[in-house]
Amino acid sequence: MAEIRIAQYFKLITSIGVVHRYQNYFVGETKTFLSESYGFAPFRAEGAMATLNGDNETLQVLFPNIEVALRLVEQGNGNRLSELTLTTAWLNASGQILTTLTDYYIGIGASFSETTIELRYRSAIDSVGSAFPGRTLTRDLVGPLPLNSELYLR
Amino acid sequence: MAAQFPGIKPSSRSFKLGNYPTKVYRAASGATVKRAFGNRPFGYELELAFENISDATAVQILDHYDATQGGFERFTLPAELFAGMATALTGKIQSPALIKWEYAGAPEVQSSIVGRSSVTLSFVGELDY
Repeated sequence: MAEIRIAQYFKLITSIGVVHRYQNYFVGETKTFLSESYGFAPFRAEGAMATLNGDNETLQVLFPNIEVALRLVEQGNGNRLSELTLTTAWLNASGQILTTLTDYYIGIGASFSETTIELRYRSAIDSVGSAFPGRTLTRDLVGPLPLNSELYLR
Repeated sequence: MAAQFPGIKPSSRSFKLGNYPTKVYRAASGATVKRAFGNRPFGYELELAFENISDATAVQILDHYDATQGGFERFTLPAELFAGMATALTGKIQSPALIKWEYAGAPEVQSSIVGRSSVTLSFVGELDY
């Protein structure tokens, strides 16, 4: 398929429990997704949308510096500890959703410029460290100590 | 509420439809994939020329430019600008869905004879949701 149509559904629950829902594809329309209404807002998301190892990647969501976005930040304690559910939806020509991919993020702050408001997030789950669970190398694990560098866990 | 453009019939009109928000990815093989970012076109263009109008009428146009802060505020266009055009075509140009107009540049005024001038305007129609 040589044509793709991608909408993003932005659901933000601020640290005080206020919910904001926006989509960025259907201009001036309110769309229903999973039985919830999403109004139009001209935002865009940048950064890691999904990673295999969940290594606490950052995501930025850019809004124009309009009143609704300003309120979104101010009501949410500067976007600290807000919960973002960002769904990327692939659409067909008539605007119906074909498939979706949902990621979850935690707000870590916001910044303002003269034209934009940037909301910053990190992925909700950090990766499990490679040393977990910690194991100690013992003779029981490796058997007789080798003469070269090859170790085999048993 | 932006000021209303004066209802003056132009000498000529030129219109260009808006573009849809898309980007094209072209692979080294030459194959392309297009992505749409929205479902509405934007960036309509309209050029109007008012030939040999009175200086007083030209001032009305310039006043409107100032009243809208020279392209900052958007506005709708009056029906007089599309006089003589079929209704269906007028609808496509005068008021496309969610489109409002703004000045794409400052008006150009050419003084021709005593008390008469020609004014050229260019507008751009942008999504106003």
